[in-house]
Amino acid sequence: MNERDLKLEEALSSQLGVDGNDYMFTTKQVFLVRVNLVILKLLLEERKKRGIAVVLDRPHGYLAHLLTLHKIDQTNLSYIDTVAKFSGDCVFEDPKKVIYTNGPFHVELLLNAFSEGYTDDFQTKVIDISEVDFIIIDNIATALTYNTMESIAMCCEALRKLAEEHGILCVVGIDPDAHRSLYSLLKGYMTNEIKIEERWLRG
Amino acid sequence: MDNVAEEAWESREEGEELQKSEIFRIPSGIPGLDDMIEGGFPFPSVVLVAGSAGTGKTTFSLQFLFAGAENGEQGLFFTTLSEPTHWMLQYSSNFSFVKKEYFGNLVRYVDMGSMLNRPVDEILSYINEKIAETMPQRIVIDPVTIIGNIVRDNYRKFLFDLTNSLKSWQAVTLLTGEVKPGEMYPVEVSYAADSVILLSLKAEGNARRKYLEVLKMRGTDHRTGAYPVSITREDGFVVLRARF
Repeated sequence: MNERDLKLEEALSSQLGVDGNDYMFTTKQVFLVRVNLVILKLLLEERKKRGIAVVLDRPHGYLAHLLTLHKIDQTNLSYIDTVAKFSGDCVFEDPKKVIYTNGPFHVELLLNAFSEGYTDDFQTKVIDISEVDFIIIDNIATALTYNTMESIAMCCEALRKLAEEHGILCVVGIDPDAHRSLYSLLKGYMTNEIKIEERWLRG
Repeated sequence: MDNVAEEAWESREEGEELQKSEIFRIPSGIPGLDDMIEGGFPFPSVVLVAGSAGTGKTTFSLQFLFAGAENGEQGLFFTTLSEPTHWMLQYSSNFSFVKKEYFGNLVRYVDMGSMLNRPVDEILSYINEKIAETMPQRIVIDPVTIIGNIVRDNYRKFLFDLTNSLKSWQAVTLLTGEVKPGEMYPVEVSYAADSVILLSLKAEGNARRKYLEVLKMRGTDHRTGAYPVSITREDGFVVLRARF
């Protein structure tokens, strides 16, 4: 990770997890991947947290590959992968750490993995809530393509409950200019908003 | 939807549509082009910029990268030409849009010349590693058709795997393609790409004029027909308004 990203991490560190447990960060859509990566580094390495990455717009292998290349320890990261099964370049690997859903549809059911469990091709898995410190969603705007707003609202509600009732840090990123209505919806659910400043991105 | 969601809806701006997921676009950096393609290139996507020698493919691509750099976006330029990168840069640095302070940071170059005699899988891995290291929002592979000349039998699979992974990296990628005599555009690449932009030269009297035509752009209500372009040091690559 370069110096510019380390400075971004430093800026995020002073904001994330300071005022409660649920956070929406806002940045331009083109920077979402980079900011997510830096947040994962902060949570997994600096804070030694255990977490789940819910991937909605590309197979988890890409995020895993990015983390590997940036030498970010993934031992404590698991995935809910909604895309791999119909992405055309899916790699079904390490099923112990990944729940493969049948697509990015019905996002309102995703977080059932914490209660009754989620059945994929391999097995039914229930994520032990006591072993999860954070959830990050990459990226919620993709859900708009396959889901109704009501489904997304229910997903947000489930996220907020995880944050409130179980103290799990929930992080969602969005570009407010590109997805104004979804941003409005998220504002209704997420307690904290972190506006990623341009100077943080420029380093 | 519960009360919180309802309140959120009510707080939205008047007239705002709620359900439709609009395709996110980034500006091309080419004056005149964005008006033809609903505001910019779909993000992420793979765009084939095809043309014969002298039509402005490399200039178009560089301008796309430098426009992104102006907004803080990371650019990555893979060159597959046998020509050393510094020659290409020496010529391109005459354009006013080229800001030298972006070289090596927001606009990075990767010379792939030495990789091209390797197996297809290694070429792909190399491209993926460079992208993962840099995390660019804008990528150029100039020209991709050189790889086709080398890998031959596996070219279609290579292109499929390449374009698939390029989109998953969350970037807009321009693949430039050289057009052979008698060919309109490189057909294999056009199937793999989301968009095809054709650059051409047409004889008019004693001169040859340059044109741009959007042949295909997925998810975009684009203008059709060939539009004249000008390429100057001062203004770079510009699509002119008049259509011919």
